[in-house]
Amino acid sequence: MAIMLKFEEREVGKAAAILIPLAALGLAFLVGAFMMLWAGVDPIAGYTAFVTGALGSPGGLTDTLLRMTPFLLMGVGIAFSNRAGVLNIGAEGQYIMGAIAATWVTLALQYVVPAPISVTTAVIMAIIVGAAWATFAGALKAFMGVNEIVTTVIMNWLALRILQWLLRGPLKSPTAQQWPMSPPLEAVYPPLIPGTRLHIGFLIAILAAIASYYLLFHTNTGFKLRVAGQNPAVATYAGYKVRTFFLLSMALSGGLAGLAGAGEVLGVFKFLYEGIAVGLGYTAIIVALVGKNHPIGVIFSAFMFGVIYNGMTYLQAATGLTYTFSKALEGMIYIFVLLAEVLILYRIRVIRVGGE
Amino acid sequence: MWDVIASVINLGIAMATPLALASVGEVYSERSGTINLGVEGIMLMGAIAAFHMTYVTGDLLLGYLAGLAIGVIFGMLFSFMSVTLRLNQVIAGMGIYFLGFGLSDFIYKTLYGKEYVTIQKPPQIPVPGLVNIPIIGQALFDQYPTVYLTYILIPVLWYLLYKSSIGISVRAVGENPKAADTMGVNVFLVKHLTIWFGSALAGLAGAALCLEITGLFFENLTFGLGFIAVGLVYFGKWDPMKAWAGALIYGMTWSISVTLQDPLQKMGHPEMVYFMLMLPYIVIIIALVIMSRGARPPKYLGVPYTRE
Amino acid sequence: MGEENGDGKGDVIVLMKGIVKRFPGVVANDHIDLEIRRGEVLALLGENGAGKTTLMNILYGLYQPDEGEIYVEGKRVRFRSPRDAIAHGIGMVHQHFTLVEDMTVVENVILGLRKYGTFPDLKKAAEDITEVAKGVGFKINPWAYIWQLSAGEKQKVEILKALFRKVKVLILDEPTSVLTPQDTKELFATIRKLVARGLGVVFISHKLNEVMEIADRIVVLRRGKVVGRLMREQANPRLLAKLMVGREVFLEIHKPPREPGRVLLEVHGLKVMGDKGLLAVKGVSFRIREGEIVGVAAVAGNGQKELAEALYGLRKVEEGRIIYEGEDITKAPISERIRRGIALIPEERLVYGALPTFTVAENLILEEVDKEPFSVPVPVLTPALGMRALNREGIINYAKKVIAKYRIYPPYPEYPAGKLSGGNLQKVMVARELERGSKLIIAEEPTAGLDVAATEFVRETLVKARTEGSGVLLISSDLSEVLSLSDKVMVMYEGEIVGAFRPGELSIEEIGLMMAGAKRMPEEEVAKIWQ
Repeated sequence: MAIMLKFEEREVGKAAAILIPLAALGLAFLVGAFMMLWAGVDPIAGYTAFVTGALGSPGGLTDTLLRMTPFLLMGVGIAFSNRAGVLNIGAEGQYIMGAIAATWVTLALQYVVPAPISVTTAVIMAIIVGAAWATFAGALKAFMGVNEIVTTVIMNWLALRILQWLLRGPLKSPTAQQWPMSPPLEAVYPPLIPGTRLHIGFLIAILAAIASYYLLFHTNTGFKLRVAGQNPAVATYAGYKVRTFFLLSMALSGGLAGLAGAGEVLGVFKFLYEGIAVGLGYTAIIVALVGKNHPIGVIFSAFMFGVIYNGMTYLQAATGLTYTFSKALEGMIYIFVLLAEVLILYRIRVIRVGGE
Repeated sequence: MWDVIASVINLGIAMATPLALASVGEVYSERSGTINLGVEGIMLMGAIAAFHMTYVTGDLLLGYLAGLAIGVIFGMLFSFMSVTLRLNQVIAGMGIYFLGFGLSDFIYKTLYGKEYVTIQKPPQIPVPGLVNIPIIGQALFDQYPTVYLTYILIPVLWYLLYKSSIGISVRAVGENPKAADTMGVNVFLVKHLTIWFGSALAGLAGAALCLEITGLFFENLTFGLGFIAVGLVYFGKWDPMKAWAGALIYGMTWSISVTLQDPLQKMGHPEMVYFMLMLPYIVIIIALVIMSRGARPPKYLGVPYTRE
Repeated sequence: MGEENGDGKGDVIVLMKGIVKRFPGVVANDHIDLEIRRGEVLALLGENGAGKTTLMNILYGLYQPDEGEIYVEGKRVRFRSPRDAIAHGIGMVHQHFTLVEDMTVVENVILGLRKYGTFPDLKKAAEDITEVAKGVGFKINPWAYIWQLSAGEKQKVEILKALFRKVKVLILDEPTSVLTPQDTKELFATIRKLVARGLGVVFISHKLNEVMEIADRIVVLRRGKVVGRLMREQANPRLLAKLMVGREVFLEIHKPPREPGRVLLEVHGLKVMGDKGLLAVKGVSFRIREGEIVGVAAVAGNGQKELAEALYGLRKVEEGRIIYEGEDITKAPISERIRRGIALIPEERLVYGALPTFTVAENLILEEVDKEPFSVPVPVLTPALGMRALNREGIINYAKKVIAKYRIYPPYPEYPAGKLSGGNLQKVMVARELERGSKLIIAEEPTAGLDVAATEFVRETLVKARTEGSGVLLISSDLSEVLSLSDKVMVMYEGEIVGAFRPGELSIEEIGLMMAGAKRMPEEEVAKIWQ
């Protein structure tokens, strides 16, 4: 007796787009509760801290928006490249390189030119370096046939090693004590709402998402990019320069990740240290997935992950767990989202065949 | 001088071993058409399982087996997602990575707190006779248990892939699953089993890394080795022996970098230690570029199989 | 039709009773009864989509029937997979070969066999294979890689795979579609040999003359149902065609006379590389004029596909020149060729042709998205970056017009193209290529896989385009299609033009000999036809 699964698509409408991530989230949090019990901490206290911390106060809420900013930028970037048929799992490295570039430029310029010029130059350099980091892998693929999934992911680790080296060498702060870090950055993002940590990077991210949406769905370039992503052979046949769109999507995706890196050092930490690289670029893959690779959808999923990240800091403070607990939970959310997609979008019939 | 060279090679081979195990496992998985990007996460799970088992029982063999077993479990989860549910393999693989990354350290911190706990590393076992060969003996035959395992296992896996009916079936499933199916090969079973096998080796690789190289567990212990293992499959053009060669190149680069750390530190350039640690990644990317010319992946790599 | 009309003579090996198979939206097999007898060729005749292949895939264990029973030699069986079917003596050669290209003949034949153990002695296996091959008169090098073989040789390997497993029933799905007339003759001789040995052979086809030639007994399917069972002696092509299509079919095509106009395309000594890194087109020269259809008669894999791709710009030209309307376009990018009015209707519709998840309207404007009214200029973006805004209204209105003109069903511009039937999808492709005012139309297998109604529509459309002044290069493995549509025909063999003639000038036998490389016309004679 053999068992086979048969998938039949079913109509669920728009509700599924919200239902799936919520169901996945609920399940992951349920498992998370058991994990907390095992670790000997009180899940109710933990989750209470989570919710009140992330959503319970104006300050908490703006921190949530602050947290969602890099997810939004990188999520939109990954959605972009996904639409163009490239799975950019190198956002983490592009983000690190962007942060390095922004720091370096700021350290060089902040006392030489007025702050707005320093910040603008830093941001532009971060975008360029992030885009270049991504396009390098893209070019290896386009011109030499090297698998881009493999190179981008190895380049993530290379970027992390570069960061570690720079923080102990060229970018080292002479006064750094326990952890290697860069000197402080003075020419930074102005706050968006005075009195909070929320900076203009948030506004930039929202604008970037809207611009991406327009580019993808309302211009001929976006149309061609989506065609090339869906089927490069068809695009070639229709006379499009597929290689150009491939490189363009890598550059855009990397540029947005670089911008996210600039935002973290210029808007949040105001110095560079190893703690900026906690896998936000990997999380952004889930953000794009939950947002259905649609820039507007990514705004909502980035908010969801902003809540999770912000809430988790409160949960960690309340329970004494470390950030890897959040990472484990994140992995579960990710896997449950994938499973829920299949379970909700398809009717799965188990068919028994054979016998005798 | 020769002593230094021998010890560099010795260390390089030791370091290459976990990488080679994970990479050869991935060769089998990809040969039957599934790219598993979760190797990194599975290695981390293998490492924590092996660490905990060894710590609790004091038995190294049980540690290795625990790594192997957790690999199979994660392989089952991955093959369920990628083969049974036919999810995008890259996306499902990243899910496995996230899970393994977070879970392994969460488990460690829950069990051991924030302190580093060390275990007794397995001894390097000299092979009587062979170890006395000048340089080579010291480099190759005074090694950890899993190193000797790779000496035997990888050639065997090469032979199986190219010369046995099992290998013919595995390759056929990756090249043309429909052809295999119509000839009565159970395509789904072959895919599941190769993934489980590959994941088991990844788990064992994590165990070897933790027990033999570091002797302790810490967050993100693998530092991208699992992804490099996947890269080596491309470098090795889906051939177990060539993937092993790639692992040795990485291992040697790493070993040289590490060996140079001490002198650099003494010369007053401690940051150069980290500069040297960048080299293996750069070498691997260059190697990939060189080897990618004319590389042809299994035709149905990444494509889930379905009859209807 | 009564049983008495279609009763065979030999013992029944396989009996299928009341087989039902449903796919989303269609009943592929609707209560089909069928028996396969020893020493008999059973032809399963029907249009594309009639359910022939589905029925045989069920017998071969690839699909599970929703209802019905299968008996082999009187015993009820249930097949979970081809392994079970093979164990019960059933073998099948699929239309699209199921061979692993990157492996040798030996490895392909012993794939899935347990007989040779875990470490097979390939030398011994090769000897055994050669032995079986000798028995049916095949000459095959067991150590050759599949990709090195011609289509005819691949088919022999497929048949060997089945014979090696000692099958009692051999199913051949559209086996002649890739063969030359001579190869077909050889195949028929092989089939006769097998039947004489007591095998039951199922011959799936939609070609009436072949069925009339080889079948002992004929079962006709239409839309998943059996609509006729007869012995060959009771059949004639007219009757079979009527059963198959459900109405009288006029296989004639109305083709008004047309004086060819000026030269549209000139090809000089064109050399093009194939996928294997060897020359696939070896220096061909020809001309296409306005208002004529030039057909290519060739067996698949003789360079015609590479020729079409090179003309359209999908493949690099190694040597030679392509002159279009007096200008050299040998190195022009595809976009420029599209702009100049060159169109390609590709063979592999879902690879090159259409985007299944995009709408019909989007598929229709694929090549013209940069033009009004499909997109319009916007401030800043257009002058600075050359981007334009999509104009949804313009796209939809255009699609509505085309859908009405080509009778595409269902008539919704925003219907996903992937849900269209094969015939309607092909209409979308043809419409897209012709509606942009194309002057040179390269049509690759434009009717492959279509039902009779859609085939007629596509053929009429091509003839109409030619009568209105376009030049058409028609590539088709259906020789009768080439001969009935074309004004001139060129025969290609191994990348060369080995003959050129006007339909009616040569007999089918002569054409067949040229397609098989056994005969070629002198070069001067070939050159004369293009004058």
